[in-house]
Amino acid sequence: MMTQGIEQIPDSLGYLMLNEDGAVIASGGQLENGEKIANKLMHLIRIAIKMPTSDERASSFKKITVMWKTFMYVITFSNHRVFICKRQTNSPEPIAV
Amino acid sequence: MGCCFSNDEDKDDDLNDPSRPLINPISDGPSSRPIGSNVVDVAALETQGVDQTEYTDRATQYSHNLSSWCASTQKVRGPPRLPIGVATPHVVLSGQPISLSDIQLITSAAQQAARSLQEIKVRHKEDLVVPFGVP
Amino acid sequence: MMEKSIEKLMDEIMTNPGVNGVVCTDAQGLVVAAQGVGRKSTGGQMTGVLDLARDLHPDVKDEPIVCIESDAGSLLLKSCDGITIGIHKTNS
Repeated sequence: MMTQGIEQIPDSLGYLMLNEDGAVIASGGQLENGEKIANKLMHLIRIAIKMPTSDERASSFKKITVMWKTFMYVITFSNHRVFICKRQTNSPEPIAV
Repeated sequence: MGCCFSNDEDKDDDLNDPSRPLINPISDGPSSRPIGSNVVDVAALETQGVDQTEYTDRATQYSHNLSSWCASTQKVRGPPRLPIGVATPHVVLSGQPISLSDIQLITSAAQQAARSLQEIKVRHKEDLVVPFGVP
Repeated sequence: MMEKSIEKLMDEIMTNPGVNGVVCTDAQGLVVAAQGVGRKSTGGQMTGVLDLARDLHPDVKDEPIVCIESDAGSLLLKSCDGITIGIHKTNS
């Protein structure tokens, strides 16, 4: 399956699949045809992947999460593609302010 | 070849050679040949007009040379490559995003840091310049 | 009441399980304090990523948390009142 099952993620509000240049290959839900949000996310991703997460220089990259109180974007990479899922944050009000 | 410059000297028969300079101080000033190699007699120079066609031809050739040279270099420009990533993206995307304890850790750390940094803001207390001895 | 100093706060954060680095920047991305792996962090990148995260949904008022994860460890980022905290955690 081309989208590798990302349209079937629980609590999903929408998904995007981008190529290395940031072009939308597949989209659905709230992110359907989300070219604008894809561009913004790609901009964020390009900075985030350059940031050191640990002492090891060449540790393999897994995912980026951008989380608000009610929803979040989870981003990962596979086979020269960017996979993005917008999900509900459904843990019981975790952020005490 | 070189019909536009038919009144030129014989040695300029390679007019279409793109590496030829637009002006040639030595051939243009034959009387000053002994010192021609050292001095450019600007007053004696006569520019050999480059007509529109030749101008366009040269521009085309230069850009062709440039692009073929660029293509042969190894350096690839453009955005950084993506990480290799994971084999099963949907498993990573559907997993636990950030643990509750990590959310609490970063949230309280940010709040406390903001609070303690507010403490070291510069506060105006007294005049920096104190006049004394002034009547 | 005197708030605890930023250095003391950094020491405290470092005692949490798995934490191997911490960094704090001001609104301009200037590093105010750093410990452990946090010393390698570029403050401008931290504030830059959070600015871009906020720009995804300017209408949402709460501050987003950004988490960047690799096999070896993760980096948690969050801003509060213009300052930014980054916490490095190791997976091992």
